[in-house]
Amino acid sequence: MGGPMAGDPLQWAEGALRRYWSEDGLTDVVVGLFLVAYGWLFEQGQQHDAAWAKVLLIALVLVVALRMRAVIHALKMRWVYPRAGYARPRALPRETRLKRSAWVLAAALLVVGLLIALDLPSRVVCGLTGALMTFLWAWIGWRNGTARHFFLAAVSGGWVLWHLLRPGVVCDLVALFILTGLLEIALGLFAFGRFLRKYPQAQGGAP
Amino acid sequence: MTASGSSQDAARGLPRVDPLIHVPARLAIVATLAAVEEADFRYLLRATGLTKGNLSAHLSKLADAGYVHITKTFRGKYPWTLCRLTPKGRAAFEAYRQAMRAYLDPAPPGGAQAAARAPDDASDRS
Repeated sequence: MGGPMAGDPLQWAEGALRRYWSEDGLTDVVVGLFLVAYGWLFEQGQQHDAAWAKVLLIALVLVVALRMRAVIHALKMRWVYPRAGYARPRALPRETRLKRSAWVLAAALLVVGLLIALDLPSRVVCGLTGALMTFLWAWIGWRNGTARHFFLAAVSGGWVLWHLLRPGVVCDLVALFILTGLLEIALGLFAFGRFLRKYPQAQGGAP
Repeated sequence: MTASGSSQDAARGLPRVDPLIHVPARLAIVATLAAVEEADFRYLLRATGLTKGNLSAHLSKLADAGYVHITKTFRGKYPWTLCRLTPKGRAAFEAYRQAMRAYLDPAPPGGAQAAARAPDDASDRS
């Protein structure tokens, strides 16, 4: 990628910020922990009909939706910014944020409504969810230029294809969540270790 | 770039851009700050690839022009320099981008001319 003179300088700077944001791998560790916890609680709620698991599942989703950014920010304040520098991404205008949230909510409701209305077989639901996860990993990898997300997309896509193309094998979404979650934690920790070696603790603090 | 240089550029069809931003090092700084709410000196060092002395000098020029607001504070016992683009700096950067975009991607024949003619045409019709 060229410097700011090579193309649109703002796009160049935004790309650099995105790569910086994902370089340390901490976001992956947090998202991986969420996926594992989500899969485990979902399993508890389904298999053992545990009410506490269902309550915790809703609480987990709410915490992630409302506080995940703050948690990642706190981790970065401790481990990342003192080493490689601090940058706070620009907040979108309130109107844009509300519009975007409304679109995501509407799309989620539409998908859930369609799944309920069409009463699709569990294999189809599993396949669609796996395809969505695969697409999301690949999109994140393309956007941030991170090979680990392409690897997760390949694992997720391969896992779904393997389970769908083999008759008699149950396509278990919980296993997919836990598998990709654990992989993401491992890859995130690997990226974090590499980040710590690349940016050793600065002597004398920030200039 | 001097005033005579600017008029020469205009005569050659080159865009008249803010010379303060057009310098590659300062463009990198301003673009980096335009993409964030605020950033510290260390992030700017890494993002722009400048040396400490170079970055400091260019930041001072941008701050003197009112394009960048610099806050010197402490984090723990260490000094911490935070920089953010001012509204004036953001407007100047946006004007620079538009000027360069218009120069590098000129509108197809007829498009820009038609747009430029439109007000006159409208007044002719009225």
